[in-house]
Amino acid sequence: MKLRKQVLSILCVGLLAFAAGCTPNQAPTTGKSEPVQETKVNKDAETTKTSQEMVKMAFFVPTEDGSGVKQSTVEMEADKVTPKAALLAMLKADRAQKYPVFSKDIKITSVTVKDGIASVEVNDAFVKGNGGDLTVQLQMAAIVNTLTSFDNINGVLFVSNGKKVPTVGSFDTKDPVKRMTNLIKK
Amino acid sequence: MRKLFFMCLAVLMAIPLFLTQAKAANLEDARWVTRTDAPVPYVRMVMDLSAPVKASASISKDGKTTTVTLKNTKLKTAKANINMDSSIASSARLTEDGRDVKVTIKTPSSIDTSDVKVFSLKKDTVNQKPYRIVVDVQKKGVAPKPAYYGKRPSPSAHPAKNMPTGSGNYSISGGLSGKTITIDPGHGGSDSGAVGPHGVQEKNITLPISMYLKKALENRGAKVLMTRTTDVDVYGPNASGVDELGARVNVANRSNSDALISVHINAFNNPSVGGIATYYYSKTGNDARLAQKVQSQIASVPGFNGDRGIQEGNLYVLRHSNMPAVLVELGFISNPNEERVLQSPQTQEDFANRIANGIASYFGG
Repeated sequence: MKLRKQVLSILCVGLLAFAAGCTPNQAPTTGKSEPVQETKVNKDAETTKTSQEMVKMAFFVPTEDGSGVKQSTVEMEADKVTPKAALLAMLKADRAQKYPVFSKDIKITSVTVKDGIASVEVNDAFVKGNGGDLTVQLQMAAIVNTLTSFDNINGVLFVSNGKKVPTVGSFDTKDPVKRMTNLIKK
Repeated sequence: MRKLFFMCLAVLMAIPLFLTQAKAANLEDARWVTRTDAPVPYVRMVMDLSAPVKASASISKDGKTTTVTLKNTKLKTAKANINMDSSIASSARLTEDGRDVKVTIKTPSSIDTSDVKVFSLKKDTVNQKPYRIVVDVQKKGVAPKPAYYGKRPSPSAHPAKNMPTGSGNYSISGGLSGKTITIDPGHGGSDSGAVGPHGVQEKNITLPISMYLKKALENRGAKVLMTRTTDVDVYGPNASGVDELGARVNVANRSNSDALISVHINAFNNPSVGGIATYYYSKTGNDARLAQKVQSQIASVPGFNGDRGIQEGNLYVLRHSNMPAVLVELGFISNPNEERVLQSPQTQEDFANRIANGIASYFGG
């Protein structure tokens, strides 16, 4: 009994000593030149929350006066916030307007993201670019600006029947289309 | 018994300390992007981590080196040297420094703490994002820009790669006489273009305006080529976008034209939307100037809903032509009032003369 107590005591002391001797934040000094300015580190800024919590999903809708695209948000469960969901929300919002820019025959079927580029599968109705250059321009701005709102997307390619679409209407879409900031209306 | 209880308690208290120490986080990936959607452009660098990491950041005395230290972290990515945006944050170097990883960011300009933001993000199991440390470096010396649409030019922040820089065989001064101009009447043949509420087709408006423009330019001594002079496709019926648009560009490129003018009529779902605009693509350094000269002449044509200004547009014919080029949108065929006015030969000729005036002004004559 006495021996057991002694062993236990030694174990506890040993564990405490071991734990006290180590911290995760030890950083050896390097002896290099002293920096002049320290930046404050902001901790734990959350962009999304865990599932079952509601978050705001942003997307851009063409304005009815043809002046550009405007940001809207919708509350969604965090686990449902995806690039395709954002595009579908954008389409829904646009088609609820009196003068929708996306005609009903335009379909967006999938979005795949790789190396910062989103490939959006669209149908021929979108590729043909009917409806005028302004219409096509705002359709592209709505799609591109919605998708590039995601941290991991900085360009958009259009794909139809599995192949990259080089032109949409009169517009050149061979290279990933970057965020169209000049068409964002406050 | 009491002693045994306190001993067990001590062990239990020690366990969390034991578990939280020691294992380093792995820096698994580092990537960056230039964001131009903020009032001031910035470079965002994101580092993916296998566990939460404490970080600190500092800026050197000369302000051109920012060092972010990720505590108790191992470098597990092959990306040790990353070239970024030379106008904001030119490069980042990742190195192990004892138990930590140091991220050394070089900037072309001297920056201070207000130009840098460092923050951590939690693991997002829903969207499959790991723990992250994010570093934002703002561009120095840039006034915050408002968002706008229309009248002012908005040069692209990211000129497209592999774009033609111009053959060098076009003139930009010396008057209009002797210059070679290609006119591209939009659409044609199997492609009607936009159709107005009363059935007027865009292709049937762009052609007469273009023919008037040809005459106006030739009267001033210019040599004029047309991509089409009748109601036909330029490449062939029902051609792909690339083939048809490429065929039009070829007319201008092969003739070493000094300028290309593509004539179009706009359209939009809202019938009250109208107005006149000129598009350009920044590839030669003279595209915006040509657009400004032309738009300043055509914006006030009577019967149209205002000046929509000059705008940069990634339009195929503008991007792939070797010389300064513009695409004019002469009103909205979807607007009933403008559709009616566009059918008038007087309006068509007025547009043509004004475009010719703008081109002449561009060449300094």
